[in-house]
Amino acid sequence: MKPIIKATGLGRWYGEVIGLNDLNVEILPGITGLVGPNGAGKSTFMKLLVGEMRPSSGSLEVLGHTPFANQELYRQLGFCPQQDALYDHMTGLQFVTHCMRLANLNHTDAKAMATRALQRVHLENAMNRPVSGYSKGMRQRTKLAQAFAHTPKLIIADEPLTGLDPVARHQVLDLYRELGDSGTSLIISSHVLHEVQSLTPRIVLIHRGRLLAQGPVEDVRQLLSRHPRKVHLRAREPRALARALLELPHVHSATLEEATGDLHIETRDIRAFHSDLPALASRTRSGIESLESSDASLDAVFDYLVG
Amino acid sequence: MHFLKTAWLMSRLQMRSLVLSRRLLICVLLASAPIAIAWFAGGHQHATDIVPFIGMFLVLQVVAPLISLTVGSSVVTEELENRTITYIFTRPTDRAAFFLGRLASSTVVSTILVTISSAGVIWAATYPQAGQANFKRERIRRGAHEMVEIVRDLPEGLATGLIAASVVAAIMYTLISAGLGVFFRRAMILSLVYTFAIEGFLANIPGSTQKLSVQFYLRSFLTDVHEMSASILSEIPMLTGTTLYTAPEALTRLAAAYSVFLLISALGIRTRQYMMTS
Repeated sequence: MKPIIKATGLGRWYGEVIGLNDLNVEILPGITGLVGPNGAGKSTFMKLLVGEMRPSSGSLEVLGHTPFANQELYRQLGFCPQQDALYDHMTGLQFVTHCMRLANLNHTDAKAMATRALQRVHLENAMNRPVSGYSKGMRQRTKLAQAFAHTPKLIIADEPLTGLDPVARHQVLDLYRELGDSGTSLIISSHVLHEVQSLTPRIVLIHRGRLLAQGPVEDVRQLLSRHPRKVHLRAREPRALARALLELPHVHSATLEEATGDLHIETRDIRAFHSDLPALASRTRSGIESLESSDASLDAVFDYLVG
Repeated sequence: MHFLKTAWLMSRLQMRSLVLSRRLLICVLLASAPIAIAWFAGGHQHATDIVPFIGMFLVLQVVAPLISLTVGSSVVTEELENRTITYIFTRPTDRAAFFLGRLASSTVVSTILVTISSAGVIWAATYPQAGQANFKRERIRRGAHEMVEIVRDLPEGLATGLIAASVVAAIMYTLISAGLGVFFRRAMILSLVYTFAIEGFLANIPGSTQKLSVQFYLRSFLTDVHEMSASILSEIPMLTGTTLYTAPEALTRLAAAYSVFLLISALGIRTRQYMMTS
């Protein structure tokens, strides 16, 4: 399968600050999650993908085109930017219609496409109101509508789920799945791994401007399983619980914080840990009050991978 | 065809943004200032004595550049500051059409405002004298009639010369500000520095360096169509020693400079990278 994106030795600097450094990646058609902690270089990569900037070094091809100011590429591309910026004096419908007209559509066709797109993001009742009165979630969905209204081959969305309430988030994720099923390729950046994981098995991990890992989410998670997972527990009888936990083969260490009574566990198999814990807690009558897995965030994953 | 359509869409967008903006309110206030001054002065002196001074030293040197720079600086920088430029630059549009469309609207707005300001100066300078006729009945109608008569009595070319020079000033300064916005983020500040520091210096020292300023050509234009303005300028020692152009020569040179700067700006916007913070 021919890659839709091909970056070779891609670099981008902002003065002395490195945005991206020697990034080599090929992305195939379909839905791909671009993940990384804040400041990893995701937005820089996105800006290069949509031709907002030129690379400082290396080369980049999107759908076979060099992106910067490439009109041929923009006919096949939809971009949902991260920034919460819209023309506030316009209604949602006017805004998306305006964006469609810039793609050289006549007013009637542009309006019809805009209406359909806004209906798909469930804004049909609000689309004739000025966007200045929209909630953040509605604004986010309006940005999304302008990105896919013209049925592009590739949609690039930078943190598209930010600001959405759970219901809207669910609807938008469903929309992405529909778009993906209809053959549209999507590149979605997010710093929240589980959101991306619910959408696609394929991710590209960027950290400090470099490619850290690429491939199915499960494979990347495997990398994490080589490191002990940290769990914080609070229990009425932490010593008894700690003793029992240390007997389990997958528990690497148990540390009791005398001052607070908190128990810090390291385990090599988080699933087995969660499976064994209820029985153990019952047997030792330790009375677990709270349980928190502190290194489930993507930042923690990166900390492990970066070393 | 798509280029023209994009330019038209951009022009409409800019016009709508400007009409709803605080910039326009500021510009209206700026445009009103010389009119108010002319109104007060008109009560004490004859329009022929007031209009050349206010026109040349307030409208052309201060108000027209300020209005044009304020409006012109919004051409690129407003989209950048609002971070909406992304929606335009990731569409199959020519960036030059974006610039030209928005510039066209800005030029129209600044030209209208500056024209109102200069025409208003003439009106305000003449109206109090017309009002002195003190017709109790039909005062407005007769007052207006008197005013027209006074305008007719103004030295030949003063009214038309001032208005035409104002239009030229608005067109030039709007492009300067818009063009600087293509290359620099702080277009408004840079435009002000250029107009009131660099050009203000170049235009007001003796010698041929005056030819590097827009003001030199505006003076040439105005003095060619209005002799009294020429006599006013001849009384300022710093401005003597430089031969002014005729109106056609001044217009031709300004048109050439405009074309070159427009071309540079249009090419610049095609190649410049505009980075927005997230």
